[in-house]
Amino acid sequence: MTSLTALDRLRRLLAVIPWVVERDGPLIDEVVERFDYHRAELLEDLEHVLFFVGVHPFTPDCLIDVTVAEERVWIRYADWFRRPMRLSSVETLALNAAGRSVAAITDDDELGPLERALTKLASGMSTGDNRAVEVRLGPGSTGTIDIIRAALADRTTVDIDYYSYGRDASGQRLVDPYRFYADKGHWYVSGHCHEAESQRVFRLDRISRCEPTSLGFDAPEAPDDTVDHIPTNGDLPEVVVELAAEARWVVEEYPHSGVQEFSDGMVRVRLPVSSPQWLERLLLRLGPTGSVVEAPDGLGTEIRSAAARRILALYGV
Amino acid sequence: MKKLERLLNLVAAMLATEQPLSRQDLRRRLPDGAYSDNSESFRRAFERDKEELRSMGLPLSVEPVPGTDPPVDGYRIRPGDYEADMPALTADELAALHLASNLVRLRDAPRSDPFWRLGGVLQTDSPEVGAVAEVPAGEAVRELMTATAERRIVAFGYNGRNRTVEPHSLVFTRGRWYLAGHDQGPAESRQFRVDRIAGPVSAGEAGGFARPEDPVEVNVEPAWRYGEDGPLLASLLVHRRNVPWIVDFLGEDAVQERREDGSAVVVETVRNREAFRSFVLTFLDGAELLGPDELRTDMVTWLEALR
Repeated sequence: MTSLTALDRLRRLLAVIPWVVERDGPLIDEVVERFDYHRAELLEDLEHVLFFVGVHPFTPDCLIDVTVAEERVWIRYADWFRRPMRLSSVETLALNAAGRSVAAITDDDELGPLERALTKLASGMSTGDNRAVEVRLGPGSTGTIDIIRAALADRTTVDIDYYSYGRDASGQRLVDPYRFYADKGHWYVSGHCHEAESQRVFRLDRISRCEPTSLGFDAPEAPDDTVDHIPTNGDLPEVVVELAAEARWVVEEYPHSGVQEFSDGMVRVRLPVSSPQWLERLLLRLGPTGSVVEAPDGLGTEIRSAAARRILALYGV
Repeated sequence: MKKLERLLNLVAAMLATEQPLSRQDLRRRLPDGAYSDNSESFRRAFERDKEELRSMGLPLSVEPVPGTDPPVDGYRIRPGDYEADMPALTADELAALHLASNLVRLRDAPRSDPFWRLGGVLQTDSPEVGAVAEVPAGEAVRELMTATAERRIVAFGYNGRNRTVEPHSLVFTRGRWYLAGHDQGPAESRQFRVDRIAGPVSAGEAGGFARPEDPVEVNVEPAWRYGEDGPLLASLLVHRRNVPWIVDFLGEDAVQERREDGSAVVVETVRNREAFRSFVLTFLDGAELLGPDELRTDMVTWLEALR
């Protein structure tokens, strides 16, 4: 029984043939691993299919020659398949975009293997096209990224100065990094914070200082990935905000647990509140286009008034 | 005969010929038993094979068979369209590229095998690693990628209107894909958010437009720098807890003064006052607009209505 369709096998064979042709009898096992083939399927395709492939009139000189012996394979006289099929423009662009976004964070030497690979990829594209599709993962100094990725690999603690946007406060922390990732245009590191004694997420561009330490840690089997997201299941206090039509961006921008539409473009959205400061910012920015219509104690309109007064004090009002 | 064998022979025949071959010519050039003798079954099977080969990206071209009148469709694969023309990658280059594509993964993309065609990757050279970023690449994104790469004019619905656009650049930034190009309707440069495109994207012929010397670029600079308001040079006093971030964001050149208490004054050109006010408010009481008076008064008026 085979698990692949004829088309899947064709796609692989068209890649396998030129690769084997160029080599003097590679090991079957290497072909299996490189091209993700089942051994039995590969042997079947080589000995019982490819052996019969050629061009009209199918005399021996017009057929592909396949020899399988001593765990090795030779393919000869496969002129029509001497080169692999070229990558599609989407494949090339996607590889190029992924490669360039990684090159941007690794600060690789210009003569490093990734840069060289990208140069070769770009050679098949017309001028300017290699920059036409781009993946920008987020700002962050490559120095900090290098330190965090190295600490993650070595399981060592990092010492950082961090500005918490949610609490609008900054301070020094020791963090055991568990995971490093990009999301919605920013880099994050999630890990155990020694000060908070629990798992936290840190946004890279809010780390103002980052140094490695020699402290080691044991990573948990399964890090808690729920801390990476704002819960919309009622674990956090929630407020209902009524938004004018021009403030609809709030619905797209923030996690919410329900939207109610009204006829004139007005919506009511139920928002989990991760910190009072987050709600203050939102309400101050919205001004007359958003108002709290339902809130637990301490998270109503009074929070906006208090924040407005605090800021007005800076202006001498 | 096995389907795989038939397809391989069909591809070989189309690659080997210098003239386009009709369906009947191709049948005669395949071994006996490749297709049914019944001409209708043959026609259907051939059409299906052709479509399947196209679906895996084989550049099958259709041209009239020379000397036929009325013209008969002829098929071939030009080696120049089929064969890879990229210089071969060394093992370490291939491994680096493989690692990069593991780290930054395109989500929703169909299973594809570019690495097989680049020679395959051994586990010892580049073991599988977890992704650091997953980039959505649904159907619209893939269609736009092809169109951007091959200079195909695209048509799609956006904000309740049908647009016809020459795509110049496609960029994933701040967690979203953006398309920038020349909108043929109003004949102007425009930028679109791909997640707001309604319905399918249809693409025209390859090479449907010439990429200009200065293509339209995706621009996601902060909103206050691009607006209709007369430009003002705003100066902002920032509390020390916010200084590292804002200097990183605006650049060291924006810093006008660093004070002893660790705070700093930064300057920034504002062309959209509303957007800038919104930005300043995200600092809460960690930033104060020092001037010009116009902006300062506007901020005070806004806040007085909210206290």
